[in-house]
Amino acid sequence: MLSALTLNDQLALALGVLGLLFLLINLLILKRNKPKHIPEPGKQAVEHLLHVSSEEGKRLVVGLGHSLANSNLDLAGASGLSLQRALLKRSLFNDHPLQSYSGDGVLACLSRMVVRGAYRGALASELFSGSLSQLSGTSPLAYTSSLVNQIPDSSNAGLLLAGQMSPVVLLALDQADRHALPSISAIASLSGQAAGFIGNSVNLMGEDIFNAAGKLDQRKSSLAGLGAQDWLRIAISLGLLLGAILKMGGVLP
Amino acid sequence: MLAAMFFVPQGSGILGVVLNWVIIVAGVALLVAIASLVLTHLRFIAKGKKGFLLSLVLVISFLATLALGLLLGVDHSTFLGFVGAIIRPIETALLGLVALIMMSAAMKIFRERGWSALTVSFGVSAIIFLILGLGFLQNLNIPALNEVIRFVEALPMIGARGLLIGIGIGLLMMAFRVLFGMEGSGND
Repeated sequence: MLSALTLNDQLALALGVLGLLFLLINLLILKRNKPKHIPEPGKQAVEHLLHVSSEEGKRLVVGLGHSLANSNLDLAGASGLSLQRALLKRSLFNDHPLQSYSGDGVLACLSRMVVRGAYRGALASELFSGSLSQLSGTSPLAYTSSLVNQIPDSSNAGLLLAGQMSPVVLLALDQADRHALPSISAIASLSGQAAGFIGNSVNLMGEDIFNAAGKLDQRKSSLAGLGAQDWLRIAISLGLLLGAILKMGGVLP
Repeated sequence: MLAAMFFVPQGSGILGVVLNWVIIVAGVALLVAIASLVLTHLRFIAKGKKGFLLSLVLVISFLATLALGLLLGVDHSTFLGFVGAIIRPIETALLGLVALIMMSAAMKIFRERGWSALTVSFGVSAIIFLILGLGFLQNLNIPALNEVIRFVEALPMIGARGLLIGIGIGLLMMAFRVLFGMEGSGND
């Protein structure tokens, strides 16, 4: 049956199996000794912003994106949920807790579950409010215009954009810049990353968007995933070199 | 399911069923999220919270659109005309605003990040691709020039592939964590 698959499918299957293997190995390694996760300066920005919001008694606004199960299934749209979870754990009892906005129904429900779970885990279910995680538009433009409307509030300490967003989100980044609101973008689409680059925000690109929380997320699964990502990156680089050599040698079609 | 994806002819029936389930669940999730949004704004109106007038506008427009949609049907020309007459101008205005802000951001990038190699190369590449996008160089029909243009137009994909590979790796790890329940609902 495997012979019925194209070369691309076979490569995808091999990468998937390899990724799973690396993840399991890293999970086992983590049990024995805990490797340090050293984030890059961009990821420390999230931690810094969290401290600033706690000290000033202001809230952080997180935009989780507008695409998870809307028109096409895109798991990258859920990349902001781990950031939301990491920030919530450290801002549950702040004067203004974390406020999240989603542009997708499934994402809004998942985000609400994350908020509910965080308060329940802290034995503070009575502090939970559904308004902390809202659906704010069902199309990219509606989502962005809703987000733009939330930024001028004086009780905001910063804006974090994490998830799948279109470059229209540049409106929100520009609004944040005009109100001197620090912003961090960890957008899963290439055009969104370009918008974050030309905006005045700390911009995370590539695989960094899946670990925007940086030092704040010290769960075993996240750390193991980071280790597995590094190993897989090396494996892919070696594979690409090998593929180039085989192609030049005429072995590959 | 993952195995079924690779053996498409045999697994296509199961895939179709699961996809239908996904569409139904996504639709229900959207209804739940919309209901939660409307209830939140009704609470804002009842408490007289700051900005409750905007919440009132939202609730009234939502109920009016819902009522019209239920009465006329979502495919009715009057309903589509009504919705389109409101949404299209707003979206067009926002897109126009995005274009203006992109232009100002392109100018601002040099002020904010300085004249570094990154910003200069960004500006130069933007101008080059703008000229290539106009098409008049291609219309000259010079074979050597066309080859150069084809090479230059392929350059962004080289950089984009690096980012896409990184995103793909991160996505794969996140997918495994979701599949094996390591990405819980927050109650860790």
